Amino acid sequence: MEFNVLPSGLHLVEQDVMCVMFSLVPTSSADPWRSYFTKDNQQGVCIFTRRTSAVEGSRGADMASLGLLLAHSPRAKPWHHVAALKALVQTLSSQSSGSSSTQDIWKPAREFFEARKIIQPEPSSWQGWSHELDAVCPTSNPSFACTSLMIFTEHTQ
Amino acid sequence: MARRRILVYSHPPVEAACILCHVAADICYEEQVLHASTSTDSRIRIQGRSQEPINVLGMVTLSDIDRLKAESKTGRGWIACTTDAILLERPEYYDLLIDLTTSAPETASRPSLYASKALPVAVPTTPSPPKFKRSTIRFSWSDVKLWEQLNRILQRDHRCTSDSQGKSKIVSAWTDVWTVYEDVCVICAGLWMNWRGTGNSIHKDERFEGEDVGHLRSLGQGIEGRPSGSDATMKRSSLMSWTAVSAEQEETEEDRNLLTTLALLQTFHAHSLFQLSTLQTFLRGQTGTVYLSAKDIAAFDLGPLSAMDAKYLEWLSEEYGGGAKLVVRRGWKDLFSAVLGYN
Repeated sequence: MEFNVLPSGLHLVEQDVMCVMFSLVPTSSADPWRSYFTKDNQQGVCIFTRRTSAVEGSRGADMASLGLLLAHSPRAKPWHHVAALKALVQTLSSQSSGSSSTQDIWKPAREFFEARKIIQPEPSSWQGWSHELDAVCPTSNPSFACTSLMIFTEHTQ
Repeated sequence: MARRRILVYSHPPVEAACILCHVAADICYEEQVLHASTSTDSRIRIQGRSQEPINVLGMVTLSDIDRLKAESKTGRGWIACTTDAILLERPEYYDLLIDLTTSAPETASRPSLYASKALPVAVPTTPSPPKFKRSTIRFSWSDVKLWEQLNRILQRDHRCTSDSQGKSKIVSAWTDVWTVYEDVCVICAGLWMNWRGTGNSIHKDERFEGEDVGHLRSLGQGIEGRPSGSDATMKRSSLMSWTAVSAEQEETEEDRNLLTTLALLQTFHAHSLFQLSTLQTFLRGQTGTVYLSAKDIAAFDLGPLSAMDAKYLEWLSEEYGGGAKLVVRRGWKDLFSAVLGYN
């Protein structure tokens, strides 16, 4: 998972968004929770950030990826969480820069998770692109990039 | 649609590459989910082998090679992106490579496309795994025709944007680059299309009246035909509804983007349905090997002289053939027949 969210060459950019899919392999066949994931792949999304750092040993930069894994569903929508995840990264970043050693800097992350965790994923059926783009997830859907991938628009002066 | 292994190579940042993975899967998503169980279109009776849509793996690295091998064995197909250039030199792990590093919006250059090709074994004395090489893919004439349909939608979206916002924009689309391509090929492509018009016609063309007058296929039979689906949920996705939107109607940019996206996805979906319908016509429930001539490829709106288009058809038959194997004859006699129009 670490290599997926921190791929090679990412140190060259300030910020990036990655959609990933993880296949969680159990460490032990006796572990029932983990064995659930041996059959199913999970979609995920992460936000990468790079900040300059003067901490000794950090080689001038502090790089981190914060992401989430979605419950398995026929059509997972990791992009639905990108905006909130970016805001969370911003919050954590601002807190960590001025925090004391006793402050719980991961509290916003836990609250983020508690607000979104799903006990039982709802089964979903395909209802067409109109429903997908117009009703389910109107913003940040990568399908909207279908147009912009084919056309580059530049504003004139 | 042919359930291949597609790898997108990009420099960081990788967000665009990740989005491309999802969009590429979206292009054939509806056809794959609708045909996984039962077709809603009575004219399309062939079903794919895979029950799930192509797998979008997202970001992969060298550490995922074992996972790529495992995913490849499912036959479901996958699409992933990577920043590891070493993977480019391992064509045994992918069928199609899209190199985004050669694409620059400022120069309107396109990504490079490569296919992996198995090298012939000279002396098969000792059992060894086959070796592959990476070969460049070039666009064929058939791409021009499909792009012409997509371009009409994009141009219409651009007109709406310019009109409503009242300011000038320069649209530098891939179509501009295609102009160069078309200048070279349009005469030959036109000859080929005219020749097709005199040959056997699998589908029936219809002419619709309106601002954008052009040849449209029958419903659900090809580009710009309305694919089958729930009328209630697809009311906004109907291309005919889209074309009927009044110019005076005020639309937000979000609405225009939505309608354009729906129109593009429908065009791809209709194109898929047309090709499956044509494939069904040729297979006719056969289970053995079915041979196609180079001229037959034209019935799919594919290039009869394109080796990649022929390969694509063979891949398509692997997924939708139901046991039949499609083989495209590409001998000198077949190629000459295709060029000269002999039967």
